[in-house]
Amino acid sequence: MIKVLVSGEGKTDMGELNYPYNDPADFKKGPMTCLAEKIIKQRTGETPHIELVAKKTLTQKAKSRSKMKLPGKKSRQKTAYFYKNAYILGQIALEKREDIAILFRDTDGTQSTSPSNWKERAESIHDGFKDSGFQNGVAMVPKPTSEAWILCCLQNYQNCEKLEELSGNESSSKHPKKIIEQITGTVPTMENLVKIACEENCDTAQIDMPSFNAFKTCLEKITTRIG
Amino acid sequence: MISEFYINNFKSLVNFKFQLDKFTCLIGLNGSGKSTILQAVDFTTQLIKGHIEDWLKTREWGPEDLLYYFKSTENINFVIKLQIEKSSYSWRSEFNANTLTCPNEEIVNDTSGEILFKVADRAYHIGNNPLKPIEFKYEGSLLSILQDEVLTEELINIRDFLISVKSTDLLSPQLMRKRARQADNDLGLGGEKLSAFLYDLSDEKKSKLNQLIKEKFQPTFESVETTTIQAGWKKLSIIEKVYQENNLFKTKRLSTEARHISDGLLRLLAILSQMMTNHQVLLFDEIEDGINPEIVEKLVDLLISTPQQILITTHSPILLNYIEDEQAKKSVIFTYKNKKGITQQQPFFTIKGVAEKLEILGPGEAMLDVSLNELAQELSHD
Repeated sequence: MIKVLVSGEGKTDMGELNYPYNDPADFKKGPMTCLAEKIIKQRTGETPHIELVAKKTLTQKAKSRSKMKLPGKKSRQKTAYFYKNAYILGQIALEKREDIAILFRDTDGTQSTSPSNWKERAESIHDGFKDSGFQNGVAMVPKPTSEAWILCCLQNYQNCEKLEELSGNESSSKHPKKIIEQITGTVPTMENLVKIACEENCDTAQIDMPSFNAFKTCLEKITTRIG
Repeated sequence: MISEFYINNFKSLVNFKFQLDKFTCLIGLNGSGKSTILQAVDFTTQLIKGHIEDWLKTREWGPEDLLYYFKSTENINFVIKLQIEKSSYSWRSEFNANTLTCPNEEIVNDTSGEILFKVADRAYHIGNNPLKPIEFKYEGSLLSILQDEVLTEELINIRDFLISVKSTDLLSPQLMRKRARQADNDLGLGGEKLSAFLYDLSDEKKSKLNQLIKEKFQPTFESVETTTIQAGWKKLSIIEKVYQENNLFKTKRLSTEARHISDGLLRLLAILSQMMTNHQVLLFDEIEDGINPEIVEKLVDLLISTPQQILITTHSPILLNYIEDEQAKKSVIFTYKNKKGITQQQPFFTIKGVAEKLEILGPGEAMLDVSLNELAQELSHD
């Protein structure tokens, strides 16, 4: 069985640990974990064993373990945050002998603090995995946010590419969360998002968005290689 | 300590206010107004010392250079909030660039609400004493010329505290290499009186300074040597202990005169010597200049642990990285200019996106991982 280690921003993407047990294997799966699980299952026919590293655990480890990373010709400004998260997740994956590690980060945030381009964020994540020595790291970077991919399922996979042009600013009426709310009539809580992504038939084969395709292609390639 | 500083109509500072911690560190792009903030603090505290014309001459400024470029008034208003022992005070004042005096000023005990000192309409009063006309000339604050006999103990404490604010924002190794005759307990704005200043230090303080440099910064360092030469000029040299050429078991003393001492060591001498003084607030501009990153940690630790209040500017991510996160959240202030060219500020690690970086990166790394240029633009829009 394929062993997968995932880490994200919070419960509405990769999920959350069950307090107070905090068992990394017995966690509440978020909608993005479900999509990853479906892609692996489609390739291997088996449900993978997935464990979650909470964001707080990852940042604490990154703070205490990692070396200073300076921007320069080989490493652009604004990428250190993504690089270091991936570097530490890669190290944990190596220690735990995981087959695949997936790091999720949105493409929201301000231009001054994060690369505005999702590809640059994904590249920083891949660089971090590579430098940690873990070869099977996958960047999961939706544009603009995870809800845009869910929205694609909700609108029957029509014109999904356009969804990447929605705003990442939560106060905007064009934020994917607001649009999900308009369509479903309910606030997109973790439970509601999980229902769409995990329980209802959200078909990963039909989601056609550049940011999703990059993630899917990378995950499929690695799954095929290790399978 | 100074807990809050407000100034209006001073160079690029218009309605500018910021909170200070015991250790405060200003960061920002070139030309964002960091040095101007140091100059503003130095200017306002100079008003308590008087001699404004001399102060302007030292900086090679005219009175008009003090004002905001698109000035609508000749007055500079400011409020300095102080914490002295357990009491809080506010000194509110208005400086007129034509008369070089403060026609209106007031010192209030914020804890009790009592007005301790007030100047208005060419008259002043101290506490509940009757109004007295001002029939004499002075520069800066009226407190610069009033004798101790007419002041209350509280006012003397406030005045002395403000006098003890020391800026060395123009420190220049070239000036520090010069021989000086007299220091009067002052290093000079550019460090031009360094030799005389060190000469005047007590033996105890000199020995403390020597030990500090030897133990923390330069193991070969032995001591600072200051001697009087012709006409009272003071010559500065440093003594190092080096091994003899033909016998590596024996050492000899190597004396190097100021004109051959490295820029970094001179700056370090100037900075550390200020920590040996009774100045209660020290201002340093681009403190890391010429100082090797390897010894920056020790310098930062000293700046944070010294009993004096410290206000510095820096461009150094290395220096920032040696500040503990909790301290950095309180101490690091980002300065930037808005579209009108007016300096603004915000505690750096309270800014969305930047605060998150501190969870994983050191304070210096976080600064490098943010485009300060874009950040300034974003904050200007808000």
